[in-house]
Amino acid sequence: MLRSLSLTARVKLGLAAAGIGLGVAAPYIFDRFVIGLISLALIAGLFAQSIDLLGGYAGLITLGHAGVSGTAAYGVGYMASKAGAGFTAQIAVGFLAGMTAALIFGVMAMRSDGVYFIMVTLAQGMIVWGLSIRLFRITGAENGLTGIPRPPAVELYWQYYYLTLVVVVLCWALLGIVVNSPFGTSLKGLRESETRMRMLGYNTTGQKLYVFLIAGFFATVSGILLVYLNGFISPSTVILAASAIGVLEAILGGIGTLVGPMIGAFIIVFVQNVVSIYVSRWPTLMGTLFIVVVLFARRGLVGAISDGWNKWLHRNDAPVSQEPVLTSSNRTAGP
Amino acid sequence: MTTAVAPILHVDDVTVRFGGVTAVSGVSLQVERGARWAVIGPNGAGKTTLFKTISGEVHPTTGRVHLFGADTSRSTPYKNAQSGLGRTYQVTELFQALTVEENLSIAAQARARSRFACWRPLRIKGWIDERITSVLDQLHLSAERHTVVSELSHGEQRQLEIALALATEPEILLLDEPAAGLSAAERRLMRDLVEGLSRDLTIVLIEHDMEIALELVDHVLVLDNGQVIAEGDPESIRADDRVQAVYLRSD
Repeated sequence: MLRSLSLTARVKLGLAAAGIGLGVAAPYIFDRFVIGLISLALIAGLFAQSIDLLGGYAGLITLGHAGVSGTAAYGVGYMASKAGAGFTAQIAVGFLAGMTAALIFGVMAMRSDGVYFIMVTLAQGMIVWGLSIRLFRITGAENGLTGIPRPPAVELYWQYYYLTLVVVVLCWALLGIVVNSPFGTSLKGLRESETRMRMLGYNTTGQKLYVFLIAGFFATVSGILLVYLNGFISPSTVILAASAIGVLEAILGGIGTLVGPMIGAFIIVFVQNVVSIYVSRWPTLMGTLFIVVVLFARRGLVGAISDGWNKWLHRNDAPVSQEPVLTSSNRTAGP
Repeated sequence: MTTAVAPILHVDDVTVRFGGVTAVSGVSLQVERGARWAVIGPNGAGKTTLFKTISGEVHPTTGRVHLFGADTSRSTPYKNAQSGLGRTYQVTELFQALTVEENLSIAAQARARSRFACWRPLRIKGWIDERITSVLDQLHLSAERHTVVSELSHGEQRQLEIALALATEPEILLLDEPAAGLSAAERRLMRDLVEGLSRDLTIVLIEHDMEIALELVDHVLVLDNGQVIAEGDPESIRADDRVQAVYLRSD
């Protein structure tokens, strides 16, 4: 069966297997600190993927997505630290809060596009941040909500890591199905020309709400995973920078792909938490990296690697027709 | 005893104003099923505004538009498209980063419930494949099926513009200057393509090239400054002094 696959497909399959293998073996290789960072990067990657579903596939760049994941996290935090509810109730309320925020955000933003969509979502994120500061009894204001324990079955760091890994891989697979579905294909049409989509018979306003809810679902999952990972939630989780970093992760890795945002998230999380130990001016380093990517790899690291791989294939006189060359047509395909 | 059949499109005394500018003034037309109409006139005559009013992109200030017997004066483009209206654009509106096949698959499923499906992969097989193949054959674009749209020539993009509208299987098709920007040879090809479309399909055409327009249709409406200055069959329009004065001299 493997022989029937192209070299590119076999390399992708090999990398996916190696990634999953490394993911499973990670707790046996790395210490607690690194495993915590990998968990954080996986959650950040899922969050960036949900942003990319909106921005990379549907052409709807959002700067308020942390408002959705943060609302879910506050829902869990409130039920755990203020209401003393059980884990099922905590997660249920977290989902309800996150999806309600996604619905409200979606209804507010679905009639706008382009820069107006960015402005509306930015305002939405700021509203959530403002509420997190103001609603002291619910959110704990600047102090946030602390003492949020993990469920007993995943209390240890490595147990929670495996839970995160399974949930993120599952969500990645679901996102892969969504972007390759009839609806996912129509999202690319929405990104390319909303006018044409309307004239073909698509209710583009409804499409935007639908994709906002789907993206909101995955942002909600990332918010719930994050609050249990950290054990607390504070306004810093819902600030503008949190949403902006998600967008940057997607752009750095490769917008319009699912693997790109995950790679971008790993790079940023490790630069923020590891490089910063050795380099005091790490934000300068990060900024330089972004500039280099934007100037020399417009389709992100995944796009640059893909272009390099295709050039290498041509140089070795590989039969072009047998290899799916990455073009502007398939650059938006899934992982 | 004969029963009266409602026209597929009925524009009834439509006026469209943008602030102080009247783009369309008191225009009426009745298009029967299977008919071929041309709307011609010099630049700024109000042709495209009339198309936008029919498609729902612009709402009439006064007057009514009826499509398929229903009042669509306040309807939206997507609802009109769902009911069977197809439209092409003077300035190409395609999904440039996608392949021809992806463009047509988006169009083909536009009126199917499956367009909402997000839980299974898009399979271009069965009826979608048949429709894409049929449209590509009809528009002589089969060789470009897997080509990215941005890599197509302008002429091929104009053909795909029509193919996209046809893939939705419309009952009435509004063609907005399909030959715009084409060379003489390409214009002849485009004329042949439009002429070869099914006679079951009702066509309303805007075309700046009067000769092409008059060859393709059996009824012509001439606009100038938003008003109808002549209406009739191609021969009578060719012979009309007002049309020659207003339209032909401006060409």
